[in-house]
Amino acid sequence: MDLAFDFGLEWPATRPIARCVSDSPPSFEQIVDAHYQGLFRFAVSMCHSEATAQDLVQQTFLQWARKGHMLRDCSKVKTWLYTTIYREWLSIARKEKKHEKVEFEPDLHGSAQSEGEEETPNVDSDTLQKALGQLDPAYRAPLVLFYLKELSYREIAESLDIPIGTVMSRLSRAKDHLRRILRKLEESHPHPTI
Amino acid sequence: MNRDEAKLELDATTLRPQDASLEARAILHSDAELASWEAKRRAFDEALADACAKVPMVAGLRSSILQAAYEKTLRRPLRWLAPTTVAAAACVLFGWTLLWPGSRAMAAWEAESLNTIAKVKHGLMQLDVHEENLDNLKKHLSLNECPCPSALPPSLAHLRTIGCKRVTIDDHAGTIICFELEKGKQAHLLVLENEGLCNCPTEGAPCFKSTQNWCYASWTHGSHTFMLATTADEMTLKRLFGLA
Repeated sequence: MDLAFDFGLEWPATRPIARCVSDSPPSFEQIVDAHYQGLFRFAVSMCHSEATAQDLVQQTFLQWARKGHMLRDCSKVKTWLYTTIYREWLSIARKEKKHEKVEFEPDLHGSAQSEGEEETPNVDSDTLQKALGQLDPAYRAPLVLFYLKELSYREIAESLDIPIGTVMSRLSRAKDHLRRILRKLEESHPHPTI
Repeated sequence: MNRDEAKLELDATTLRPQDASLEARAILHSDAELASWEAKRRAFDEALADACAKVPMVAGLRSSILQAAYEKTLRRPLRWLAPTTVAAAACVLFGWTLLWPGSRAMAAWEAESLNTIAKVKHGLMQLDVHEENLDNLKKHLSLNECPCPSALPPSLAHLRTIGCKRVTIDDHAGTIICFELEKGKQAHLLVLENEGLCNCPTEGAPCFKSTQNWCYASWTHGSHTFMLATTADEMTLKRLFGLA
């Protein structure tokens, strides 16, 4: 359903983005269409609640509607949105005291060199979400962004405000840890759904 | 870049191989073992990326995003409407009190005279003639058959004039002569033909009144009724009549 048509009104950010680098800045609706699904999947993976994820996505786009015109480089829209939603999630997580900063422990999280490469797992989205839920948020965030395939590792670093090298090492370790978690889940449920 | 560094970078780019540096790709192509490791790693990542992409969407999410943005941003200007209206009203009120100092308690000719004087003071009515000498002004008024004061209090008559303006008050011809009391302060004398004018002040001594930030004296002398108004204080006004 085309809401813009129903209201007969123009959406807030359909106005041109001021001093945009590219020639034709995207409209608010185009930006929503391009990114709301990825943002929602990222949010669900981070907070494990559809309702909270929905709020996070809405809040992110509201921020965009209010402040997006200040972004001069249109190529940074995606990074801006993921940065914003991550910060919104951090803010909620801190309030709920669910997320405490955890230092990396090789024994707990594994390391890039320690895993043998087994066959490809057969994983559905529910199992993946369960497995991701067992990862520390510091590792979960870059890993989910990586699996969404929306951002390069450089953009992930920018979105999460961490060094590029840290993103690469966290991705590597998080994958190894996730593989172990999936194996355990598979062992506890010998007939995984496909 | 050594092999471990290349491995780390390749691991971070399995799903977006275009993001890997040329150096890392070169190492990958020259190292069969690394290529095998990367292929397995990529297969694992693609499987998980597929699972990740299958996370179901909440129904109506897109609509609710657009709706929320519409409500919070397009209606936002309304939040500014109230303070803007109050500010505009305050400006109008302030302007009203500046430009319309006359009140209902005053005689109709007094209120209209004071309002006209206020407009002259604030430049909304331009002077017809700019002249620093009272005698020259009087000559000009006589030549143009405008109401002209025949007698003025001595202290007033000695002040430097700024100019004059021909006006009509309550259908009576009148003249406003502007005097410079001191720097930034003026006194405005209205000379009005009083034939048929209602509520004229009595002949003789001036009657002093004040309204808002104006002080004025009004009196009648023969066929003319006078109003001398200023935003200076009442003592200054009275001094012009030798009363303070």
